[in-house]
Amino acid sequence: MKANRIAFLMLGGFLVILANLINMQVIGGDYYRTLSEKNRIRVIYLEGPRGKILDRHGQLLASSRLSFNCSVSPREAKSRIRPSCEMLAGILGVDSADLEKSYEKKKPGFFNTVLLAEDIKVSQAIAIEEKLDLLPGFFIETSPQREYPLRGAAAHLVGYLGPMTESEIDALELYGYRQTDWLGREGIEKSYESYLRGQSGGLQIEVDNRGRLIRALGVKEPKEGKDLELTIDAVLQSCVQRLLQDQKGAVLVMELKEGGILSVNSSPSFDPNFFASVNGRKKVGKYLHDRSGPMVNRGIRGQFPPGSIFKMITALAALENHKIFKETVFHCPGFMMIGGNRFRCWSDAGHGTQSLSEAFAHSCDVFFYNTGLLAGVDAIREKCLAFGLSKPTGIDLPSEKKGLVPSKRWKLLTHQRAWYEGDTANLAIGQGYLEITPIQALVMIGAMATQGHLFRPHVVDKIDGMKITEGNATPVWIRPENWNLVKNGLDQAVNSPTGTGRLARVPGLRIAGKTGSAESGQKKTHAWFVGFAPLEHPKIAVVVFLEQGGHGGISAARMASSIFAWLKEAAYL
Amino acid sequence: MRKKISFQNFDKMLFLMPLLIFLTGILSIYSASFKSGQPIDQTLAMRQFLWMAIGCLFVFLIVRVDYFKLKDLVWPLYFLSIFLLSVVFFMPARLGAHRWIPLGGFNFQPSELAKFSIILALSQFFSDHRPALMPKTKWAVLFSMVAVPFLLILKEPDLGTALILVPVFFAMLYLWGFRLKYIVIFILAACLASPVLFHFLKDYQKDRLMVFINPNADPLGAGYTIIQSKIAIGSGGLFGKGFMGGTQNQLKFIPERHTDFIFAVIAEEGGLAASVVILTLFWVIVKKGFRICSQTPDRFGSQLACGISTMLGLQAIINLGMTMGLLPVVGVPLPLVSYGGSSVVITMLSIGLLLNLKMHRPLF
Repeated sequence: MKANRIAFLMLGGFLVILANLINMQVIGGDYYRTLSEKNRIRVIYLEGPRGKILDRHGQLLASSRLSFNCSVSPREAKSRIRPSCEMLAGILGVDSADLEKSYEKKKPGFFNTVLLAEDIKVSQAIAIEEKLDLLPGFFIETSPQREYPLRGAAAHLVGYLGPMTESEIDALELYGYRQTDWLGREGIEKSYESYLRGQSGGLQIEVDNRGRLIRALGVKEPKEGKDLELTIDAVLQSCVQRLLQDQKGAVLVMELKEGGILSVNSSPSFDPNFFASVNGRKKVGKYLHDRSGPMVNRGIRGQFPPGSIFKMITALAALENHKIFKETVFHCPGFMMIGGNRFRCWSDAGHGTQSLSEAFAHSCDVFFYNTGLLAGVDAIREKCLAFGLSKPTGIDLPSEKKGLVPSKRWKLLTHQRAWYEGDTANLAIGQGYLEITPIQALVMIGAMATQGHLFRPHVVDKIDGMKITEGNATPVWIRPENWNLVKNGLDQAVNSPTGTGRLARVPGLRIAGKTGSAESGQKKTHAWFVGFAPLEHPKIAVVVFLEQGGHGGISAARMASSIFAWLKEAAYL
Repeated sequence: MRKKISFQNFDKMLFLMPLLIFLTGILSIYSASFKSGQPIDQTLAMRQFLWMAIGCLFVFLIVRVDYFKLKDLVWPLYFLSIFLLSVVFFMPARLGAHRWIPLGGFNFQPSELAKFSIILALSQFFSDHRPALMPKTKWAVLFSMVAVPFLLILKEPDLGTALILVPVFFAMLYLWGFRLKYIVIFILAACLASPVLFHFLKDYQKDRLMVFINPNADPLGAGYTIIQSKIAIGSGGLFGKGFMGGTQNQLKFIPERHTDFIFAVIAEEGGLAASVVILTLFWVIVKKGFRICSQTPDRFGSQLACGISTMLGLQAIINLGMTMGLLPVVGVPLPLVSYGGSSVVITMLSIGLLLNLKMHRPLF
């Protein structure tokens, strides 16, 4: 009787065990099976190398090299982390306490891995690899490290990579990005991210309790990203950056065949290599806090008053609307009274009687005040739009700004004021509310040179050998005789003995162009030079913009001259 | 008047079932300790097999002796156990515990012998006395009979074996006629005292108890074993991953997988099917044991059967419960399955005694 009771109690125990067995093995079977798979199978990501960026002659602007990282899986390292860290510290020549500290700091969940040392030397990686048996949980990972051989010279063009932010991780997970992936943050790296990016593959391996490889289970080969060939000439690009030195500004050179950009420089610049390495990223703070804005690509993101280079638009607006003609002359006494205000010409002495071509050559403000007032703000604005001002040019670089072309309506809405004659006069000489980006100036002068081909400028020519740009110019309809009148003016500006742009001349080359010295609000004016060459069959357009660089006819024209000279030397002209 | 020794009453099933359990065990040990290239005669499974042979030898020796003759051996065996439990402390520690006495090629574990001899001694005591008529001094003797080896084993430390003694003692007390009320009071008192006792435990034992409450508190340390063991058991599913196919086992994620956690290997590789078979075999043995207990007319015999059955059943329940995370990890081997010579031999001895009791049932 009593024995039966004890036996009954035992049966109870056995039944509890049985119930729990069923619960674990049948009901919870899948859950535990997943856990056991997670235990034994580790996926090693094989990152597909990012595509290279090459210039038009095949010179590297961005490439990836293999870097070695040492990581550890806390689950397998467990209590042996201290001696392991000491051994690792010995190999790397760092303080083991630091390693342990970063291990403790970065240990989020014990199924994750912790990156302990980044970009270590090959010899160190081999030394660690040899001692892996004594370092439970440790392993060497390889990852491609981005390199930018041109450093600061092509920083804005090529861009750099950066880690993803929280929101990007969520948004891009669907596209196969992993939390640790880096994204293009600027320049081509950003705008061509989807082409450059490699498809990461993976190696599935079976490991034992100490994380040692037992066998490989499967592999998905990583795919390389696509290589980009640019229209850029790396030599010119570097050369221009040297010309710019510390001068704030932007220089753009474009071929007039298809709108391919030969060089796009912005100054001051930064070294994108700093962004590529963990150590370097500690130094980039200085760029971000620098008040001269080295991270800003002034060529496409800087908006400035164009000054006198805008006069060609004013002239065309008046010519096309039959307000002035080839024979039209205005007298310049050095100023003009408009609406009771005295509007000065840049030359206090006055230019005397000026024809259209003389006015271009001397950049006579009074001539263009008259021209502009005759044409009217609406006509000028219409020509602005025709030449692509106030909208992005569509260059394949990120975050392009669109500038500003004012109108009566715009002024009323923003400033609650009516449009005055004086506003029109200011607009006529490229001052006042008007703002354009240097790349817009480039497209504008390109259209002047080609008599109506408004290019969509581009820097990438081929993706993986496939040409991606063809016939991407929109026409600008201007009567041929008016094209000739303006081009003649631009020719005079450089080649007339009294031309404001005469410093841009290069022996043996007929250059046409226009200078500009735009009010900057500071003591020194912004210096502009836009031009093209050769005059008869234009091949190349150049924009030089120097922020508070003084007179366009001096600093900007001089730099343009050097660039044209180089282009002639390099047989582009 | 006794019946002659006759193998007609030899319970073949009671002998076969331990053998089946052992067979499962030896396959699991082989799987758990498999190293490729190791000759079969050097494997742990082979050693275990030899211990089983010795165990079987003991069975056949012991069934030939009338168990009443064992009464003369009870006290010498008991004091030998106490002596050996004391000797253990002068032996080198292994894994931080003084549990083993090295004897040439193998290590003898006196606590296994002690369990056996305590059951014998208690049976002897209970058959000689009646609860109602016992003087106080005898009560003191009774409790110290259990308390002395209990404390010695606890000190080794071997929490699991020590804790097994308590319910075995209670079961035998109950059978003896001790009031259930007092047993309940005693258990309640023990529960109240447990926080104090906890204080005296070794750090690692405290850790194990803490992770029993929450295994994820220290997943890499003390909780690791239980997490991995649960994963192994659960991932076995209905029919398991096949012999030698358990990834938790083969890739060494289960610690102590050929000793205390051997059931995790069985459950992973054999699934629910194998687990239920093992469970059923144990239950049938226990059931048979208690049947013998109630059918043996003399007090010594029935106490013996009760003690042995309770011990075997409890070991199975506690071991399985602990590998499944139902009970704290206290270190109880699964009889006949876990690797370990002392345990196998003593378990077979106990089975032998049960067989003996059935065969030598006195006829009045």
